[in-house]
Amino acid sequence: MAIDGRALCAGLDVAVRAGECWAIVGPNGAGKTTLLRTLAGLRRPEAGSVRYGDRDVAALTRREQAGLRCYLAENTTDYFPATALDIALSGRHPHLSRWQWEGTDDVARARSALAAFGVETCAERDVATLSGGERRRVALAAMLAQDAPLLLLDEPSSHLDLGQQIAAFDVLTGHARARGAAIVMVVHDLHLALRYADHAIAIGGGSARAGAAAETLTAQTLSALFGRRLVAVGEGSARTLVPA
Amino acid sequence: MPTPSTATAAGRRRAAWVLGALALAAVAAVLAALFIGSVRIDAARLPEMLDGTATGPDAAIVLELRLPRAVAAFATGGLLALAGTLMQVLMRNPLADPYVLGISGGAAVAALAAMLAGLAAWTGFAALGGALLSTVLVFGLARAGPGRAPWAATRLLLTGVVVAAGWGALIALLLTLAPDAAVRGMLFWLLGDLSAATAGAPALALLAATLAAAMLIARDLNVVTRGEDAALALGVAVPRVALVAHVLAATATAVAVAIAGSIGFVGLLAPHALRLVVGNDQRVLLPAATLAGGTLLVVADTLARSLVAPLQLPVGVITALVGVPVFLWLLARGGTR
Repeated sequence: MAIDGRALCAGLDVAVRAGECWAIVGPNGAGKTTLLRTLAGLRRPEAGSVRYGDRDVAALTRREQAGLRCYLAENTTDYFPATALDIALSGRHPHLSRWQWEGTDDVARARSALAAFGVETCAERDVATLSGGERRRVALAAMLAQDAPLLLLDEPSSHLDLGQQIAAFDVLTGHARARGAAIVMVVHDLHLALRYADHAIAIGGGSARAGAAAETLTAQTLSALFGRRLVAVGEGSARTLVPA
Repeated sequence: MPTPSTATAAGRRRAAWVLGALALAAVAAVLAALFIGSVRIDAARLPEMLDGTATGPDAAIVLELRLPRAVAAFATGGLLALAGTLMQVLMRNPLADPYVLGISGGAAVAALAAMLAGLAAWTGFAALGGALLSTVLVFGLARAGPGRAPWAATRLLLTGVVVAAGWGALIALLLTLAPDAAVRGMLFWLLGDLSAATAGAPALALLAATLAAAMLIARDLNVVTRGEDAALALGVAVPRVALVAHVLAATATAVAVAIAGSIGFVGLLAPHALRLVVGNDQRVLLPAATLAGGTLLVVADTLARSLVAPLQLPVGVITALVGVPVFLWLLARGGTR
């Protein structure tokens, strides 16, 4: 994988299985978003391939891709007025045929997705009037409504307060567990990566290292990755790595 | 006022009511256009006139003058509003209008050149050719950049604005070189004028076909309003949908300009105002804006030929005089962004 001729990660060979939760960590500009977009089929890899099951993602139609994975961008912009329910309902787009309107089942799924992230009271409000954190939760609700077996999320916790970060990740991982779906997400907060991910890709300096979280998200690996010595603090679910 | 949305049952009922009301308004506007004018028409004779059994000067006025003109006005207004709605989605910019890609500039240069060359009968065809040429030119230039997304909205918008400025200079040059006798006709054409419009019926058929084609991709366009990446991720083949929408919008604009010259504000105002009423679901907004744009232009054209009769005003002056304050009012009440 390369951008402007600069290799971002070469020779990465990863198999994500149903029910797994992968974290992509690395310094700014390392290529986390580019890797996620490549996995989503939104850009082509310079070499190698991305496969969903036994099919190359480039050989699938956009509609087929949308049935297999959802993708949350790092930032979302709303150019026109839209209600939170409209945004959540957009997740149902790939499930509808050309002339079909969103039915009561689609609306019910969108509403329960909004409720899962605690923004059901905003359903009929213009998203432009919501706070940044509420908008992020509405965008997450659209991912849930899309109901794909692979969730590709770019910094899902951005704009969320500490309590909402935990609540949102509990919902996402709970949904994935119940549905047998896999999550691959870019995260900056090492506490969230350590708390929720069972696997991780550490990317930086033109190479990437993938494996079980316990082997990848170590103080030693990440200290080298971020160029700053990190030490472990906290116990159990509160464990994290902080700069020394 | 809550944000209108077709996601709720109440929002859908509201959309159905609005569409019904707009259809009634369109019929009322066309009927009014048949009756208003210097010659009084007896309403009781209208059914006979429309089924072709009536004869006489009043029947000739209605069937040969007022009806074709009203139909041409409706088709032109509908085409402009439809093109404006599509352009605003494609540019993801509520300020985009049908002329944003330099379409009317190219049409105007070709039409004025035809008038100067003494080919006045060919003005419409020249305008159509000029509009299509300008569209192809803008798309060609916008695509020429290395490694850029071919439909990148900002790039197209900037290319269109710059090309339009170039056409503007050519228009000024043609007006300067033209003999005084020809300048009045040229100015009328530039301001938009339906007095010589004849191609109403084929334009109406084209309007129906364009609207039907746009409705095919309407839900895809809803997703496109959320950004290119989001739309791709939701399963929309964005380049193909954008190509279809651009071709539809460019054709609609080119035909509208060929019929009536460049009429401002209909294509900007109709989608804007209707978006405030029915929300931004293109499945409702496209037909609603089309009906509203057509009705608006029928009313404006009826005013243009009757306000200071027997003098005829260019209809573009009326749409601008009405459009400017209405648009400013919409902006001031914060309904747009």
